[in-house]
Amino acid sequence: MPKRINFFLIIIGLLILATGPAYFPGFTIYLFTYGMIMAVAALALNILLGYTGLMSFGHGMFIGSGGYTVALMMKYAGIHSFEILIPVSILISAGLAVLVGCFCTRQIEIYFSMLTLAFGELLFALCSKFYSFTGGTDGIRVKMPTLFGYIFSRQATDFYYFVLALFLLCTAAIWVICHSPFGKTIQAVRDNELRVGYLGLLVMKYRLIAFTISGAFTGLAGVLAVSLTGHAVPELFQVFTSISIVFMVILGGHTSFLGPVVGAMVFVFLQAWLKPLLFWQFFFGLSIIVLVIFLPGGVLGGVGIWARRVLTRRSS
Amino acid sequence: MGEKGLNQTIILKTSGLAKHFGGVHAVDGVDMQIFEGEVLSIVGANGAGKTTLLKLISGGHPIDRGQMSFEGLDVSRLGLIQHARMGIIYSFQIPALFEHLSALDCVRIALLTREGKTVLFFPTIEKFQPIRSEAEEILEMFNVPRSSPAHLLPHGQRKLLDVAIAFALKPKLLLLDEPTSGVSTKEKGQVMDTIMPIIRKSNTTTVIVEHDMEIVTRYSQRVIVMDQGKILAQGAPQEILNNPKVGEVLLWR
Repeated sequence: MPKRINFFLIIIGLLILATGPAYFPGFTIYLFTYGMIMAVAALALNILLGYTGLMSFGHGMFIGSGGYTVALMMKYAGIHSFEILIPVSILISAGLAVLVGCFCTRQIEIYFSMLTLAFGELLFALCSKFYSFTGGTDGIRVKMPTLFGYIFSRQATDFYYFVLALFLLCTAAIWVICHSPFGKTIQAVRDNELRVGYLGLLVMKYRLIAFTISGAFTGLAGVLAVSLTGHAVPELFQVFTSISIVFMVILGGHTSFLGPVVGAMVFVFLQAWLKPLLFWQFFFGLSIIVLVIFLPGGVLGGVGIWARRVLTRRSS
Repeated sequence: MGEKGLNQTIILKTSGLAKHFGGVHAVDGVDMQIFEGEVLSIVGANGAGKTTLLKLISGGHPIDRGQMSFEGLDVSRLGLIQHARMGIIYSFQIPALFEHLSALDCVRIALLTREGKTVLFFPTIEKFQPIRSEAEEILEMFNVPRSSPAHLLPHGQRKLLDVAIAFALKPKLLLLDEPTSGVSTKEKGQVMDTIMPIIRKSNTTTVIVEHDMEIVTRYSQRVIVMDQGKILAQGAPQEILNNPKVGEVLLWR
């Protein structure tokens, strides 16, 4: 996408997000909050899909690990503050990513995807069946955590701004990582892992680090998701959550850095608007098919093509 | 340092090196030495085992039998990554590039690898000014445009970029697998005239696998002729050209 169009869209997006609570109704603000949380997960998944060339079908496990760390710490340790819950959840999600990644990152392509899917389902089964500890299929209720003693309200906009701040922080951090020497190296792994080996680099190490970073950020999204919804349920680990994140990335465009953010927002709003309809899943699926067919580079890819056409027409 | 030859330092030495694929003996008991600073060419008909020998030296294929030492150290059982870290760098016959990255980034990745900076998450790559300057300098030497994505470069420049990536690692032993393959006859000279002065100036020990005898005689100091996985002859280019046994095998007469 042309740089000035990109810049213009970012400014418009930031303005909408910053001033949204002033004119949008509560439910729309809730959707924006959820969209930003899922955008963090989608950006994190895109470290793998767009930058490392690995398609994970099990990223729900990190939403689940982040969410359940919060729920279990609240239930068993009585800890309710974000300043403890967030770092611990990130650490646990990163630890889980290292553990799972040690098995998965040895594999590539469909074998990697299938293994991540299997690990996600394994954790879903564990969480559903381990009733005495995890609450089984009923899940665990999660109270809204506090931040340095400040009590958030689910109805007020303070939590929205807290999520906005974290979303911007995560986006900036992931952008720096993707454009750092490590970010370039994982792109090299994506493009030609054989050559990377001939340079003297251990390909698996870079995949594992990328998987761990991705898992850690997705874990943070899990913390925020259960804080917003007030419920940690085993479905967080399940394939539907994982596939939803993949959809968001593809929908927005995995070749552009901000594509997953746009994809997450479109996905969350589309789902919310279609849900009141009978057979909403049918219409939801149909909308996704139409978007993917007509915008193969994702929403941002489509906007990029349109912007280039307009600019070319103007200059000629 | 490696052991001393008659008047030169041996950088790499193999004895009884062998590799087979099923029943095919691709490399069959090769004893060879590579001297520091020399440009050595390996020639032979298709299937003579040239590329396999190069892959064995680079660590890309594990050795089935025999010994190999590099700078006096036994490297027979070491893998690809250890070989590369010791300075044995392979450049591919079919360019192996990072297709969606710019030529500048392709070389920068090699430089970051050499400097051990590939696991830095901060700051962005643009802040590494010395790396950028060096990458630009290398691309200028190799006549490759810096901002073009690798997959959009013409074939000749792709070959040059492949060698540039290998060169950026400051190899102690550079292995060039058919650097002019797939390049038009006219461009072959241009490609070699770009690569060889850089190699000579940096005094990089280089092994070239090549079919074109004109290139071999023009650019190398010593030639090894391979046939059916074995060394058939070795010597100065003129000696090789005058060897009737070699002519029979390579059919250049």
